[in-house]
Amino acid sequence: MAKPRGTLGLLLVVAGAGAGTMTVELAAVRVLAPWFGTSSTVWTNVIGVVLLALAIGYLLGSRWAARPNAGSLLGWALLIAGLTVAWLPSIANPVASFFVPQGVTLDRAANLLVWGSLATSFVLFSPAAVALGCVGPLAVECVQHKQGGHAGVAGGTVLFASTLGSLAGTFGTTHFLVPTLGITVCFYLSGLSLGLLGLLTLRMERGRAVPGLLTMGILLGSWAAPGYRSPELSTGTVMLEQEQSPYQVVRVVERRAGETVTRQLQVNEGFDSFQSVWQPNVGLLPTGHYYNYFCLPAWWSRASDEWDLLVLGLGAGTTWRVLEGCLPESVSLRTEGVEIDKTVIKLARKWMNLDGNPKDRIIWRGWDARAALRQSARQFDQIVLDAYANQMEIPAHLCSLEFFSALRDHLIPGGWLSINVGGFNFEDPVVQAVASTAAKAFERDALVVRVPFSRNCIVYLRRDADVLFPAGAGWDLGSEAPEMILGLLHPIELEPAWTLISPADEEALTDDRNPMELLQRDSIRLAGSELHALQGGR
Amino acid sequence: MSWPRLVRSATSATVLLLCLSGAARAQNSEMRSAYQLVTDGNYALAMSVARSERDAVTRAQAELYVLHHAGLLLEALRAGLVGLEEAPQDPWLLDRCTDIAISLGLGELAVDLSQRGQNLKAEDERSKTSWMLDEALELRAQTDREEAALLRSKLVTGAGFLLALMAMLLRLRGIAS
Repeated sequence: MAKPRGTLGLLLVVAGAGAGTMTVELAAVRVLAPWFGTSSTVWTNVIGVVLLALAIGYLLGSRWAARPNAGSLLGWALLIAGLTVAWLPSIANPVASFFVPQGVTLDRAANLLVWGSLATSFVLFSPAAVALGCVGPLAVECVQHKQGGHAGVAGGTVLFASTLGSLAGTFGTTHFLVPTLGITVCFYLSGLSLGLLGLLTLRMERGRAVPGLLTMGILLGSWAAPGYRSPELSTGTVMLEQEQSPYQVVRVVERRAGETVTRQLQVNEGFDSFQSVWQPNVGLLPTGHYYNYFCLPAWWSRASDEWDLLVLGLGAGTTWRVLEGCLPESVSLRTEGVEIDKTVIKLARKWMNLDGNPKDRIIWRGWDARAALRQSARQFDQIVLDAYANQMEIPAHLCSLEFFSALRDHLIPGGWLSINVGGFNFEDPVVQAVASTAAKAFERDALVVRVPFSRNCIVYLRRDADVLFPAGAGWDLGSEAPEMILGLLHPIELEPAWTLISPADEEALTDDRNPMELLQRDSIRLAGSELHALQGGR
Repeated sequence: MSWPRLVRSATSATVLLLCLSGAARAQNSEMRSAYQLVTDGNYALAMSVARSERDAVTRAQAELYVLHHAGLLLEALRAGLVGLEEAPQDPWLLDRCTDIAISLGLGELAVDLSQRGQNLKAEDERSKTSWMLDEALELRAQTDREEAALLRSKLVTGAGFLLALMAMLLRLRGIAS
C-alpha cells in the first residue's frame, strides 16, 4: 500500500474548492440582485445553473481522473476556477446589462426575470462551477492513489473535506465576506485562494509551473480591472449611498426636478420600484403615492387626542412622515416601527430623517415583523402592514390567516389594519387572496381601494367593527377634514376604485399552505396580459 | 414596496392644460357638468352624468375625463378607445388616449394614436403635442430593446442547456461502452 503522503494537503485543497463553490453560489445571487432581484425565481435559476455546471464538471473530472497526470489536472481545474471567479465582478455589469436593458419596468419584466437571470447565470457562473466540479473526482483519484485501498474510503474522505469547506464558505460568505468586504473583494479573495491552491497542487504534483504562473498573473490582473458595478441610474438621479446588507443591496438615491427634491430608498433595484420615499416636508406626498392613504383611518375614526400606530415594514419611515403631517391638529402620533434590515435603518437615519422626535418613536431594528409582534403586548389604533421581501414579494408568513389573527389581537376594538398590496385591480390574485384572508381573520368584510395613478391597492379592516365605504355611514368627512384629505377621498369614491371583499371560504392563505409566490407571479402576468389586450395584442 | 407612480411629472402640466382646454371647449352640457362635478370632488355623480349622455363620443369623452382624473388609467383608456371606435379622428380623445397609453407603458398603441393625432393637426398645432409622439416612439424603442433582450436570453439559455446535454450524452456514452 502506498504511504498517505500529501493527503492532508490534498484534503485542504478540496476543502478550499468546497468553500469556493458555496461562495460562488451564494454571492452569485447578490451579483444578480441589482438587475433581477433576489426572488425565489432568481435563486432557483442560479442554483439550477450551478448544479448543472457542477454535474458537467463531475463528468469531465471523472474522465480526466483516469489519466496519469490527474494531479496536475486538479491543479489546473483550481487555477481556472480561480481565474473565472476573480474576473466575475468585472464582467457582471456588461453581461447582465446585455440581457436586461436599462429602463425596464417591473410589470414588463416578468419574462426577463426568468430568462435573463438564467442566461446571465449561464454566462457568469457556469465556467467556474464546471471547473470546481472537476475538483471532486480528480481529488478522489489523487487521494486513492496516495492512500491506496478502497475507492469508497477515498471518496468519503474527499466528500468530508469538501462539505466542511462548503460549510465554511456558506457562513463566511453570507455573514462576513459580502456584508463587510463587498462583492468585488469577496470574489477576488475567493479567486485568489483557489488560484493559490491550484499553484500549490501543481507544485505538489510536479505539474508545469510556467503556464500556471501565467494563469495566476491573469487572475491577479482582475484586481486592476473595474470592480463590480450596479446598473446605471436613470438620468437626473444621484446615488447618495449604497451598502450591502445581510439581506440585500440597499441604496438611497436623490432626484431633483427644479426646486423639488425627493429621495428614494431602493433595495436590489434594477427596475423602477422603491421601498421608501422622502421629501423635505412631512405630510402628504404627491399624487400616486400609496402612503397617503394610510392617514385615512385616523380621520375616519375622528381621532382627537392620541393615535397609536404600528408600522410593520418600516423601511425609511415614509408612513410616519406622511401621518405626522396630515393628522388632525389635536392628535399626537405615537409610533412603533419594525424593520428587519438594520442597514435600511442606518441609511434612513442618515439620509431620510428617520429619527425625528425619538420620544414618540420606537424602532424594532433587525426584527422580523412576526417575531416583533409576538414580543409586543401593546394594542394600537392602527397597524400598517407594508412588508416586502425580494423586491416584490409579500413574505408568506406575513400574509397568513394566523398572522392576520395576531394583528387583530394587537388592535384596540375599532382599530384599523391597513395593508399595502401591489395590484392593478381587484381581480388581481394577490389582492384577492390577501384581502379575503385578512377578512376571514377579522370576520368582517375588507374595504379595498385602488390608489389613484398607481399600481397599488390598500386593504382596510377593523377589529370588531365594519369598515366604512363610500356613501356608507361615517364615510363623508364633510367639513371635518381639510381639502387635502378630501382630495384623497373623492377619487376613490368612484365605483371602479373601491370594493368590499368578503371573508375567504376555503382558500384562505395559511401558514401551512400559502402559494404567495405563485400568486405574485400570476399577478404580474395578469397585469401584463391586460395591458397587452389593450394594445389589441400588439 | 411601491411601483412607480403613473403620473409623469415632466408632462403633467401639459396634460392638465390639455384636459382643461378640452373640457372648456366641450360644447356639450353633460361634458361641462361632468367637468364641474369632478372639480367639486363629486366623482361618483360626475360618472353617472357622463354615462347618461346619449351621444357615444361625448359619453366616451366624459367617462375618460372622470376616470382619468380619478387616476383609473386602465378604465380611462378603455373608455377612450371605445369612443375612438365611434369617432376615429376625434383629436381630444386621440391626445388623451396617447397620454394614458404612454403612462401605462403601451408603446405600440401610443405611437399609433399619437401619429393619428398628429396627422389631423395643422403644422403649428403639431409642435404643441409633438412631445407625445417623441415619448411614444421612445417607449416603443424601449419595448423593442426588451424583446431583443428576451430573445437573447432565451437563445443563450437554450445554447447552455444544449451544450450541457451534449457533454452529458457524450460522456455517458463513454461510460456505458
